[in-house]
Amino acid sequence: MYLTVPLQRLRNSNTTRTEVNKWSSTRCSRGVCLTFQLVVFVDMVVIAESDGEEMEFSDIDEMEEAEEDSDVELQRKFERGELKPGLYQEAEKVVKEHKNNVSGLKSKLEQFRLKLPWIERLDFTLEAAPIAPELNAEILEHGQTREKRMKSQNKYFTLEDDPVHNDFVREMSFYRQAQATVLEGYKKLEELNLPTVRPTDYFAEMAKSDEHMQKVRKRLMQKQVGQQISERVKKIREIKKYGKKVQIEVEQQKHKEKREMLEKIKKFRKGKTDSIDFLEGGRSLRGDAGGNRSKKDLKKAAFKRTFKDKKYGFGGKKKNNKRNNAKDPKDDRALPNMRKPRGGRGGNKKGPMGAKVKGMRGKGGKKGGPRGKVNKNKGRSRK
Amino acid sequence: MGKRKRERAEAKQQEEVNPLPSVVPPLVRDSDEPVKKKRKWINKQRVLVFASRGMSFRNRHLMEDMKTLMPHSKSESKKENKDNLKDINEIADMKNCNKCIYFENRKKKDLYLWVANVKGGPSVKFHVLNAHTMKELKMTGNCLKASRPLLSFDPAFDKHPHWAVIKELLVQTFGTPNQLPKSQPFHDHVFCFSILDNKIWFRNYEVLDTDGKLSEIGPRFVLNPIKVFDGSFGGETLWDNPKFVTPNTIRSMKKKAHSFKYTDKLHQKEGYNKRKPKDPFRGDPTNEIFQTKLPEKAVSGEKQIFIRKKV
Repeated sequence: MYLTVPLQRLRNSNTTRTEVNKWSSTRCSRGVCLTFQLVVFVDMVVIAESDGEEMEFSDIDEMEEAEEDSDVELQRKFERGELKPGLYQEAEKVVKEHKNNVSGLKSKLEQFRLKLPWIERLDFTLEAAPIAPELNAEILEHGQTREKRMKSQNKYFTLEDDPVHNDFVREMSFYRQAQATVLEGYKKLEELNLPTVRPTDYFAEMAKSDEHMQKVRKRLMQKQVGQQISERVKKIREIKKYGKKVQIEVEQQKHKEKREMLEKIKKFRKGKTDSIDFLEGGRSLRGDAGGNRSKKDLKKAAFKRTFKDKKYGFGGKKKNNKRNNAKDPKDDRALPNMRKPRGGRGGNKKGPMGAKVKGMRGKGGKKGGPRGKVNKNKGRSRK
Repeated sequence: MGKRKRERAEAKQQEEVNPLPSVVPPLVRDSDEPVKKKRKWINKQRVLVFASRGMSFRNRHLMEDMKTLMPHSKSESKKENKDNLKDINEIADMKNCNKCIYFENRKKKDLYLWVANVKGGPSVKFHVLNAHTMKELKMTGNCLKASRPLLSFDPAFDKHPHWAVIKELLVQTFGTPNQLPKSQPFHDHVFCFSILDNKIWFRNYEVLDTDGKLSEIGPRFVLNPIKVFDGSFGGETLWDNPKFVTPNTIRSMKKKAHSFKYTDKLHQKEGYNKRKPKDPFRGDPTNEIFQTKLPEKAVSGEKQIFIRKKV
């Protein structure tokens, strides 16, 4: 933030003149115009206020005309050689010199330098260690994440101008310099048979107290835990998305199948196709969830269903299975072409549970019929 | 058991219980004889670390950190800013210190660091920027309080004589002397001084293992050198930083930059007022003669103007 407007430029270009005017006057072309004295430094021009004259101008040209007496004009005239002696006084030139007494520095260095062996000083002047591939990968990763994050907010973002990324790269370079020193230093120390790394079981007074280190550890743990939680949340989100996709697909497939089936039925009904084979196809309307099932599997499944219905359906039916009545177990077996003995046996089925017993389907096989209250009296009357 | 045997047995027992050290000082010593000195600690550096009044909390912690990291340091109470800088030489003399690190605080905002070789040597004045202390939780490393640090310097320190002088001063001031009685055996931290943008960047790393894995301990700061003086806290300037801008100038520039917005707006307004035409633009009526359209393409009102008459 220097005001680098050296004196040379002021003379030549018009634009800088207006810049000077900008700097020099608070309101130009109308109102107050203040004149200034230029104080010249080597690379810097600082324009300091000297005195104020109130003049009214309506146009910028008028102001430039009036500038004839201003210091800037005076300076220009002086350089052109138009000024007569006696009418002006040269202002004192304040040129700031920057000292660099090389010989003095060198002699001083020699004078106060510590002339002791290296071990007393332990100083190293080395180039930074070369970038390890892991470090390089880290830097790239940092750059990428930074770019991704900032591009979404600000489209004029560039990685070179990003202070955070530049900070990271700078710290890496210091780290590498220290690393080079450590590697070199430990080598030298080991040659001199001096202990180098602090062993883990060496307990002594440390620069930071134990309580402080606990705090540091706690903070690191919290960070780690936070990261894990966010990772888990992300995963769950991903799974949900995927799951939703799969669900939608399955549903669509189902609908498609149903549609096709209905169409085929329609076609058949309208007589366009003769065969009704598609009904017997392995695909059930229940969907493709189980994949392609064979006929055998389906039969098995159907049998399982009916058996279970028999056994567990209409709860309570099992209660009369273990009745100690004079019912012959042979009666329950499906005997083809053999008439069941009538008479006395029928009477046994009277009693409180008689009606219920008659209602059971299970006896005598799958003698079909609607479920429900079927009168299986078979003609035997109750006494 | 005979008496002689018993005595011998007793002597043997005593020897076993109290083994004599390998280096046995003589049992009888003449008082006129001077005591032999232990001559291992040669590099006698003692640094006086103290500050002026008006210190902010961060700078105070920085000073405390310096004291913990340098076992060869001594502290002193706060100094008034108005007192002469040259008095520091006397204070250091009284404390028997040959180096000094002085934290000068100005305006309760700016921190200047003086590093000086008190006995006739050079001194440097720095402006401290970006100071972070050891207590920050992001600095995860730890080191022994009084172990000797390895000092790492940028190769740029050898390129110019003023940097060489500064480097020598830093080595003598920050480096813990060898065989200092307070010092601890291992070398488990590194002081890293780098030059970037004409400033010295200081970092302190803990060495975790021999592969060169490091972890930052702190503190960290940036030193902007202002001047190198021939004497301690004064004397002829040997070197002057041409690129140094005082913090006051920076602050005033920033404030002026804010005012540019207002002045720019004013200039723009005036420029617009000058350029604005006083009368509305009036077209030349004769131009309209040459504006014709095909009657077929005339739209609504124009059909009455652009007419193709049947001849």
